[in-house]
Amino acid sequence: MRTALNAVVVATAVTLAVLAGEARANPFQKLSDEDLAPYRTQTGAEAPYRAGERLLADLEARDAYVSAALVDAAIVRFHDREARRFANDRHAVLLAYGVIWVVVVGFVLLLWRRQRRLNHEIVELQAKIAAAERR
Amino acid sequence: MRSALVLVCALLAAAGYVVAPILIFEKAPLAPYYELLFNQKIFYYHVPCAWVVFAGAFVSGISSIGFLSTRSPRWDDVASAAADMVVLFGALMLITGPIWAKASWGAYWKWDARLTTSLLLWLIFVSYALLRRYGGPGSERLAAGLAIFGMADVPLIYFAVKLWKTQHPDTTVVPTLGPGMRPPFYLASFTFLFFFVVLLVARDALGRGQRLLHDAQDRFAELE
Repeated sequence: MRTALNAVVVATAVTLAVLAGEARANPFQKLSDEDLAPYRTQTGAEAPYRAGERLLADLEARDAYVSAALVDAAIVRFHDREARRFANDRHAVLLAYGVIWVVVVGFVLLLWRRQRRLNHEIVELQAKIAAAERR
Repeated sequence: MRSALVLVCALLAAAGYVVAPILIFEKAPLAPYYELLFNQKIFYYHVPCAWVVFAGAFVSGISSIGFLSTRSPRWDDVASAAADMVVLFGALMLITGPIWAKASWGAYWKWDARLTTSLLLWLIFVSYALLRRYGGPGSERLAAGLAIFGMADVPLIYFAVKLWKTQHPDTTVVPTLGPGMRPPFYLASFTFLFFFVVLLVARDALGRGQRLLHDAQDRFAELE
């Protein structure tokens, strides 16, 4: 009795799982390569978005709601991608910080060179004074 | 005493330049505006540069007033050194600002009041430096007048965003910073300030040394 009950429970679970899988199945999987061929771009023949436009036009003729939903999803995906790209754009920050360090180091080197020149001139003047004192 | 002060400032600036980027890039949150986000990290160095420019302009202007009223060359040495700081940090401000502007406004430059008066301040101190370099004897008094004129431009820059409609953010940005942004910002500001003091003292000592040496050379030439 118990074994039979277990068998019924397992069979029911398997049946429900199969039915759920069917419900979630991707309808585009059923399309053949020939069905999708008009929406593929031949390399170099046209820009890829042209094929997408054909797909949208055909879909719009079949179901305007699904077509509009697809366009909305594309817009959201585009904005999301751009926002991520912008948020992680390190180009401007690296450039700004790099410029700061290059200019500051350049100024410090300039000061150092001027100080060396000054020290050199002091040594020269000391030598002139010593020579004058000897005379 | 002065050497100790410079040493302390140099050590604090060095420590700040190590710690500040860690706080800026690891701890500070991203700015919550779509057009800012990661690019806002430029703010932590751009604004301190501007503050140091203001400090330099004030030091140069006040020292120039001291020079014109006492004719003491020591005032002139300090004014000249501070003017160099305005040119240096002003250049950094004017380079980092447009890089950030391009990233957030889409244009390197807008002729709004804040940007234009800032450029004017920098040009005044570039003129000061050129005058001191090529002006010949007596140019220091003319340069002192220029530095005072430059100092008068600082309040104009600060209040430009209130007096006129500008694209540049107004003066409420710093007081309204989020709690996560304040520590790195103030640390970066003090770091730049300490570095400014170190460079100012070094540049002042160099200018004073050059002046004393040239005086000594002139006296020696007269004796010869």
